[in-house]
Amino acid sequence: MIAVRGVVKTFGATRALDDLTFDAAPGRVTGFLGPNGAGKTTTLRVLLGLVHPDRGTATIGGTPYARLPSPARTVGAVLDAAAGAHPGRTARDHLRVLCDAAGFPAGRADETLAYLGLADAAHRRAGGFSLGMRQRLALAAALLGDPPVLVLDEPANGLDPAGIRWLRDLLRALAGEGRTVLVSSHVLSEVAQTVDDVVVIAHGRLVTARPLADLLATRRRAVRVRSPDAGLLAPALIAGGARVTRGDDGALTVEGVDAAAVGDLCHARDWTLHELSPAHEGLEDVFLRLVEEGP
Amino acid sequence: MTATPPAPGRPPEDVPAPAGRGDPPARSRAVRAVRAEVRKLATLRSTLGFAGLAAAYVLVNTVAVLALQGVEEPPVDLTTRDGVRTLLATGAAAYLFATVVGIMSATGEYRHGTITPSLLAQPSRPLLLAAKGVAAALAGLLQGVVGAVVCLGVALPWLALVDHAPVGAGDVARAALGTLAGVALFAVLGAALGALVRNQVVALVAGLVWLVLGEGLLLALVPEVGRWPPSGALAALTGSSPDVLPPVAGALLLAGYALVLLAAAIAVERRRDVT
Repeated sequence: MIAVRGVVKTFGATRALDDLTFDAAPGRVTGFLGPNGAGKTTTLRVLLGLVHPDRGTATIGGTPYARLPSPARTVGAVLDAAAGAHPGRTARDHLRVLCDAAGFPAGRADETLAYLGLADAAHRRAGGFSLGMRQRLALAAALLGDPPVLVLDEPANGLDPAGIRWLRDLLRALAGEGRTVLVSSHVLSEVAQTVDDVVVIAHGRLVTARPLADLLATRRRAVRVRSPDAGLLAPALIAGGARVTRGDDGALTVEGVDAAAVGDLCHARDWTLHELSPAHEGLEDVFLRLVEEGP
Repeated sequence: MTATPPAPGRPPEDVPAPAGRGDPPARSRAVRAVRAEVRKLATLRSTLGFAGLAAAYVLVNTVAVLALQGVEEPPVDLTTRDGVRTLLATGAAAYLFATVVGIMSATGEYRHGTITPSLLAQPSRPLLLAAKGVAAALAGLLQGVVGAVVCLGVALPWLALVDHAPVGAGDVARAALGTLAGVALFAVLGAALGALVRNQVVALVAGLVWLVLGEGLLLALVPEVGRWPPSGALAALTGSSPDVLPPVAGALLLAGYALVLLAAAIAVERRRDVT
């Protein structure tokens, strides 16, 4: 549904996007990841026709955003939610302005406010909103047209833990209805429970684009073992071909064999186990490794 | 957070179905764009606030002319026909506030980041700016009405109390209509300037310095060109000074300035990035 093809964008002497190509598919949540300054926001703005690329194309269902017959019915977007509403205008008026511009009935403003839990704040001016409420208002604006495609730039910023869980459920539900959801973040672990696919960029270039499950499969796997018989267990594991390191707390970190093999060995030798747990490479470690390795 | 978030699920059912797909007629897109821009102005308290300031400013101007009739050689001598015409045109002083409203309507989009949702709801930048011009003209018209009503509402009864040259019905009509049209066009000029400059403070300073100081200086240095800048065209519309263009020429000149500046803003905006 979303196709970015060979996009190049230079701001002055800075090459913000360098031949960037990726897709986001319907019915899936695609996490668009990269450190701050990697070019995520610029990419999304190119996709929405706000920034003109030097080269390349970014299309939705084959058409650039600005040339879609009904853009706001096709794509809902949250960009820069911290701004985005005039501080002197009420939440409801903000949405009604957008309904006017996009040709939606005024009732959609109230419906989406209620849907996003902002009904009580409808007549309050946006200037007094918390960052979390601004995020919700921006989401309400994005959902006005009930669009099949959603593009969200760092939507979790400013949300409390309950809000983040709520957002996760919302995005899963929207993708579950067959919509295309593209959501950017600079923290992989923040979106790991939400996304199906990941697109990682760094310095404006694509690092990797693949299903999250594939990415997780590249994690370095390890087992953490605590045992009063560690002095016997460690040499036995090493003899079996595993790599073993002993931590300050006396626990062993074992790579090269899985937890079942360690458990079986201890059972066979009648050694006592106090802990046997997976200690895989963390998500952030994977992310940082990918970003450092680059394309 | 004010409320417990609702459980996610299907968005509201009675969503406008994709039946409306297909390119809507250009006319309806234009109507929508104008409606959105008018609502933007109508939903901000500052729009009325500036109308209030304009009323107060015009009141001071009008009262000053009338109250100074007692002094020796008043700056505006109401015993002359030109003096009476100048008095009747003091409502046009609202043009400063109309300009400010126009500038703020355009630069506010960039200042508050609303340009992004605005262009997502309706991606055509020429249409957005043209609609902004129309909405600014309407807001300016409000300022002009306020200016004309305050000015004539004070001046006409007060004139009965002082020595003055005869007041022609044509002079009153020209002052009133000229104030409406002229002040409205200044709001369009402001919107176009704001769209070109984008930065609110820079646009306000540039606009007001030009109108208050720049044109005054121009007049002082090269008086013969005084009828040509925007304020000269406004004077032609209202008849506030004797040495001006005919009213229709003034109207065309001022409309020309507004349209050229708006066209320039559109041409520039098409190429710019919204970051």
